[in-house]
Amino acid sequence: MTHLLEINRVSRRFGGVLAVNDVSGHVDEGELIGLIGPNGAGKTTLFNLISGFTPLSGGTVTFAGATVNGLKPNQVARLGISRTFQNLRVFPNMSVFDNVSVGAAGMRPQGVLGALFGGLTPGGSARADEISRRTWDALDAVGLTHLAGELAANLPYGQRKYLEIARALAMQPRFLILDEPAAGLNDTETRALADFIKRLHGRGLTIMLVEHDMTLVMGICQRIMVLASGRKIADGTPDTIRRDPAVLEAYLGVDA
Amino acid sequence: MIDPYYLQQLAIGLSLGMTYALMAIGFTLIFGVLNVVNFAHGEIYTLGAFAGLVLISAAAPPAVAVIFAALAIGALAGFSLERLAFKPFRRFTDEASLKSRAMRESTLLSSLAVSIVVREGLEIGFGSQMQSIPFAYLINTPVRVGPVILVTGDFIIFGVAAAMLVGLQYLLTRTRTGLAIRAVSNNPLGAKYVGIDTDRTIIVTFVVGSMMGAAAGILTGLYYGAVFPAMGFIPGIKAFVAMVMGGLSSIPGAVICALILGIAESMATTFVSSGWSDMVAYGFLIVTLIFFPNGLFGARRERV
Repeated sequence: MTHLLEINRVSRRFGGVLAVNDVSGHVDEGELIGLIGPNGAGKTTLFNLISGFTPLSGGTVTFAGATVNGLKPNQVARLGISRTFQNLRVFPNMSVFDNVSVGAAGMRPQGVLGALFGGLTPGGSARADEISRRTWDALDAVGLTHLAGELAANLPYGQRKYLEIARALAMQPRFLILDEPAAGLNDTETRALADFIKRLHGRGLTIMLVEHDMTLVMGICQRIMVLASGRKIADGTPDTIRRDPAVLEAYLGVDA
Repeated sequence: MIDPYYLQQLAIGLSLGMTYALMAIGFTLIFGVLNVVNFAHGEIYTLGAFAGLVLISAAAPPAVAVIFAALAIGALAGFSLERLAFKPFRRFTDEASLKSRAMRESTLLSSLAVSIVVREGLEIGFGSQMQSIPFAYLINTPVRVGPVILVTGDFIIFGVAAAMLVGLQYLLTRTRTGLAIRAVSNNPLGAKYVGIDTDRTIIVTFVVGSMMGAAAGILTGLYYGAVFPAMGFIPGIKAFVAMVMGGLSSIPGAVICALILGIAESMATTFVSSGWSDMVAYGFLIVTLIFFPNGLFGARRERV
């Protein structure tokens, strides 16, 4: 069977440093997978390679049969890969509703003339209804409906995270990558987040979680990939990862 | 009872302010998406006016066609300007390089270069003297409103500019293109990851902003009856002042400040010779920079 996402021997070199070194792996439809590793392991770089942010130095990435290498982030997004950011990138001076509807509008490629006049043509109202429906659905999924009219800048940090997730959901992605969603959250908030992610997964969404917080990843992920110094050192269920000597060494610096 | 003279100056100031507002919007939109100042914006204004002049002398079409020609040339000029002076310096690799100082400085110089080339090119083609607009196209037929005497141009400028402002507001708030422009000016990288083609959005922003600048140019040309290669310089500076006063990236702020500027200048000619009225704008700029470095409305207003 073919995998939803296939990472085949990818590398990324920054000057003399191999940030990601010959990593292979895959994600199947419907999986909830974790990507962990100590600081500087190459998690973010791998993630950026998948989402089209950083060009590959070697290897290939394919998503649902389509080659991802060489695509720009906006093109990758249109393939159905959606991501959130560790340091949030919401649109602070737009309302919560507008933030999410940018995702829902699913910016298709259109010429300059199309962009200028496309929004003005009759028959666009069916589309507008569709955009608005998807926006409300996404807001509802994260529980921000009551704040739709608020400026994003006025939301507290935790809610801005959910706003960013709503924006990603409004794109109706096939694959959602969450970049350290638990960073900056307290224990209660992290538990609520874990429940939320499980609910999303329960609706059939394929999710990759890039995380520092081991308890979160161990608690909800079905499978975990571990990176250290740019290499994949382990790939398996939480239980096997917990006992893997290479992982223990990378994290604790001891010979297990 | 207010002296009708002041009412008249107020009305003239409003139409003058509207042309500044059209110009200031171009600056503000572009500053919003790229964080750079487009120094060739004044030349877009000039090109709009010249496009009208050329069409009038070649074909003598109805006045509406003249304005549409100016809009078309403005759109084309905005597109070319972005490709020539801005795109080559843009590297969409990360947030830092996207709005980096290096990019700001290089596009500042490249847009200045385009502005000089356009101005000199027009001087070679048309000479540096003022070109007169044929009498039939002038919009200065007197109109009496109560005790005040205005000219048709005051109404036409106000009407066209107001229509364009409403159109812009519609574009920004009700269309997907506007959503994309606002998203890019809020967070370019975030916008890219939500599937927005930032390059296209930036081009559209230049096209829209330049159409407004070109409209201001042709309207002013028809109002004063004179068109010349250096005509965009002073309005460019006035619009820049309005943008700074309005808080750099607030469209409502820029429009309100442009109107304040227009009215203040028009009133000032009551007390000082008209040659000194330009000092009003510079005075406003200095006061704004010293006392309101975030603009008169602060940084809290909704941006573009």
